[in-house]
Amino acid sequence: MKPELLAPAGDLERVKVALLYGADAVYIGGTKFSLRSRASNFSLPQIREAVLFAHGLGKKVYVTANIVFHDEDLEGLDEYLGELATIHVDAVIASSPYVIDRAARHPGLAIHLSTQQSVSNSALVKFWAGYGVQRVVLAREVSLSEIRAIRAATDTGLEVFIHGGMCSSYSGRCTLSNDMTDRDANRGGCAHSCRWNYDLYRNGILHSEAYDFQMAAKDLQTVRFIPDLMKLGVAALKIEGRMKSLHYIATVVNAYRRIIDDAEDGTLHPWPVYEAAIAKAENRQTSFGFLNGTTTVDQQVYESGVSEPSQDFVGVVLRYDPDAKTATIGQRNVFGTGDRIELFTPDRGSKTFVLEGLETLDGTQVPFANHAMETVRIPTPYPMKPYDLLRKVN
Amino acid sequence: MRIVATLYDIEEIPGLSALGADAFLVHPAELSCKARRSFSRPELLEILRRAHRFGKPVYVHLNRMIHEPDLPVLDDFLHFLSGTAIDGIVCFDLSVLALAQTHGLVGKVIYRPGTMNTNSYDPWFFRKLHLKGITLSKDITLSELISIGENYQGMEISVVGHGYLFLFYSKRPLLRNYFIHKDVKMAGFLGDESFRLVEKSRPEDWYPIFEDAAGTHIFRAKKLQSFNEIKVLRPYLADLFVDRLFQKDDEYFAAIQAYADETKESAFLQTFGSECDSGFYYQKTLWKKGDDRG
Repeated sequence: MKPELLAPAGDLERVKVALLYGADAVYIGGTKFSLRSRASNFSLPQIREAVLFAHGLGKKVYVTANIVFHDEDLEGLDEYLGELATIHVDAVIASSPYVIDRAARHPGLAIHLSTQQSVSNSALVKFWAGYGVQRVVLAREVSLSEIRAIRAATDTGLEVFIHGGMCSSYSGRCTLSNDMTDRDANRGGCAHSCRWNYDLYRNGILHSEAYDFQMAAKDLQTVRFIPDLMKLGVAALKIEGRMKSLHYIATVVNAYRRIIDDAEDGTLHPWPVYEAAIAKAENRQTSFGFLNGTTTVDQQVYESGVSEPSQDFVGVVLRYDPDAKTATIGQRNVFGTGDRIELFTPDRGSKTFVLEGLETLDGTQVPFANHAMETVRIPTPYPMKPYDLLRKVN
Repeated sequence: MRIVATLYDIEEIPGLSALGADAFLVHPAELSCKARRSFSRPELLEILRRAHRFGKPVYVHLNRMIHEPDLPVLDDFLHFLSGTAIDGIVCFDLSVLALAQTHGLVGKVIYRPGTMNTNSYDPWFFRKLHLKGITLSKDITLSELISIGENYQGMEISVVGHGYLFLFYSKRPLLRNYFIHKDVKMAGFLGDESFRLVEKSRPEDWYPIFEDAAGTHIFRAKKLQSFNEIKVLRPYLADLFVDRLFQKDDEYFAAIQAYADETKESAFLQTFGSECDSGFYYQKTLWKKGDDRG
């Protein structure tokens, strides 16, 4: 059985894109009780809309309530969980025993244990399963062989991170940010102090150069491990990044969708095909994390952590007029007449064309779409659908 | 309230007892980390024998994150402990509790995850599991600690009240990797307590960084001292852990004495107080949604 491909989404548009581009489920945060304070978290009506959209496609929505609760955070949780159950959210992702206990009072609401608990062995999986947890998100520090052993020893659903940001510390146990910036890493305020640069001293003698001691982990990228993870029978493969862009979500989700489907069908392409697809949106250094065991220098960031994606995301299709053969585009980055454009679709592959012109909605011809988030109309040689994406081929 | 002293030498038992230690925390060779000294099973048996002669309980500290290959080691060690008169098993990872059930040791387990035990419900949850106790999180305020203490009775509650609080535990060998990256030959860095990190905008703060077989650990730049706060918390506490790493023996012994004897506090603070602060007792962390500061 194929594992579920689980994607992050920071707003409703990204929920729709993630699901259309191949995710089987999305996880989102509410306005309370969720980590990632700077993600555009969801109100209850927005969660309801996300659920209706997902269920309409036969897919699922999970809501995070994974902060480490202090007393001041407890108020309103029962009502909130009740609302989530009422609007048929499929699961709540929790790290606190309090949330697990309270969520268990709503039979329709499954409980997934957050990676904040850093579960790294089968005994702990069984422990939490005994308290009503249906799925455990494993620590990012577990290796492929450890996942295999955990799978063999338990029958609880296991969720494994396959792509995105990595904490340097075990999740849920880090308070660097709390100490250095007063921002609570375990309540959504992490300042990523582990990604800063430091000087290193031993007995008061400097052993680094110009603050070049770094702890930052490369982002996770596990393209070549997916067939192995599928064989292990994990329940879900999870992409990290509720603060990531629409383009990133669509690109990464679609690449892993293709790997899972191709592996299932026995039609896998060479790995560089999928890696190149991801590189169109990826701007951070990546590695396979702990999947081969402990980490080395190859899993650490020591040079500049940012590179350019191989292609620029320039717009999202809002509407298509089949009679006029034009598409209305929501601009995201500058593009113009003469640019070679890639049409990236959820289910119809990608095609390229040279843009022969563009106009504003009042019909004024313009050479460029260079106003942020403006709406323009373009002639297209191919039919398009809403949420198709346009990239400029560099 | 018991003052729990970390033991680095069997011969320290009489001296620390005389200074006021009520219990001893020892790091076993199996599944511990962040320690200058760990003890073999025969040594542990000898510690139990001698400490009990002084009427002092002994806790083992299993403060490593437990991975799947560690489970047989943990199971075997718990089996060993089940045949001893151990008084407490202080654990960082709940897997210890999970396996303790099969060895009849649940009532000895003290869950000390560093973070996580942050609200009034947590003691209720763990009491249902019949643990010996839990250690409240290091990163909550004094008023939060008091509130939890006032709201809950029935299971032992403890705090880490003194020493360098750890902030970060990575499975990654961060010092080793850095030296490899820099192509620097650095001997003896594992277990070396003299490494410090300094961030550019915080030149006064020197954060201890310590690598061992379990990974890399980073600690607060200043030592926590809690003389005044413990007076307030004392009615709620079963154990006060006085951590030892990065401190010289004379300072550590003075700290134990000062917690046991109020008249020794000012002398301690006069000698060692400049390197101490109040930790998170009055440092309320922020988490507001959409807060873009920092």
